[in-house]
Amino acid sequence: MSAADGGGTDEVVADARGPRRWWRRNALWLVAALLLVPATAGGIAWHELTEQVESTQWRETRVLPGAQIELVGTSLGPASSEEPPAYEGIEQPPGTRIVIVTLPVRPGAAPFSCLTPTLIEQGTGREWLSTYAPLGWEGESGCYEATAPLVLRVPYVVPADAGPFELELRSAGLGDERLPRFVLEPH
Amino acid sequence: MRRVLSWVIGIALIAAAALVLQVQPSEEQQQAPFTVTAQLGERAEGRTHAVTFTRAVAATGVHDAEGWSASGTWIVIDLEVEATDSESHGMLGLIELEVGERLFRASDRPSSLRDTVHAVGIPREGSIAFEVGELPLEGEATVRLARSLETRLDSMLTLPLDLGALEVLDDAEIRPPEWVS
Repeated sequence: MSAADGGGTDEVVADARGPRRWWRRNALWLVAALLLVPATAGGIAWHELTEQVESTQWRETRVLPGAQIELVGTSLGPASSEEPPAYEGIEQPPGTRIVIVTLPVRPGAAPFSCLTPTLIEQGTGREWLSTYAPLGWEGESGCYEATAPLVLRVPYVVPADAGPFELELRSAGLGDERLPRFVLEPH
Repeated sequence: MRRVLSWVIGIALIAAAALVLQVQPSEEQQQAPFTVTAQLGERAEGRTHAVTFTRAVAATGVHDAEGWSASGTWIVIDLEVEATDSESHGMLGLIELEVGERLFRASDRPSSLRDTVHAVGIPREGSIAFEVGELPLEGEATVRLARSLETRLDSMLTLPLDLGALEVLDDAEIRPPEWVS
């Protein structure tokens, strides 16, 4: 091997002396790589994890049975549920039961608007919409710029083996506030 | 000798890179729906819906429960459907029959299970019907159901059919959605 294609006599000699010399010559870069590779992996993992948590966990504030919560000046709760054996006016499919959820809403100084709440099964996250306007159903299922206290009373039809549930209330006026989820006492 | 070796290794690496490019899945394949195939009588469960296809027939005429009727060649499928996660997107946005290169959408003419908003955990049964024009009843076909027309990376429930083996009725009933009892 000539000096011309090795880049210098020193290097050729160093190569010839074996690998120990190589490790010593590259020690700085080896240490840097040893630190930076795990740091990069950790950084990426952290970023992905926080993004995941932010996109899935930020949404709800859990409200325990019997408790109330105040949101943008409006007091909500406590939520309760009842399960009548059958309800006239609701077409009840076989193998199902009816859950009627009641939620008091007391607006503060500002008017409060809310969508019909969603019934969510704890654990699985399966969600049911309110049974559409059955004939003769009496009860507020949502509110629009309410200023006086009212009580939401909403029926759901769920499979016989579903539950326990939480009630999620969605409102346009919450801004960055978390959505309240009222835990319902199982029957 | 060393220079020759460098060239050989270099060319081998480029060839390997070309090979990797060739065998890697296309964008379409990477975003393909997750297909769950069921035979008649089997339950197939996807991300948003679960379905059991119960009957498949061909017919030269159809009628529905409201008295509507039509002639022509139809494929009628009876099935049970329930939503599995949410009623907010409980409807099956895509119901189609694929025959070779051709796609037929479920007909909106009869009263059927086509536009039903499905309930979570509470199955409904009924029919969907495809009006297939002059299609010869032979060869393979696939019934495909999905939550929406956007099927990328979502689940798709399918039923393979042998069109030639289908029973051909003079008049098939298209059943409206009813709760499974």
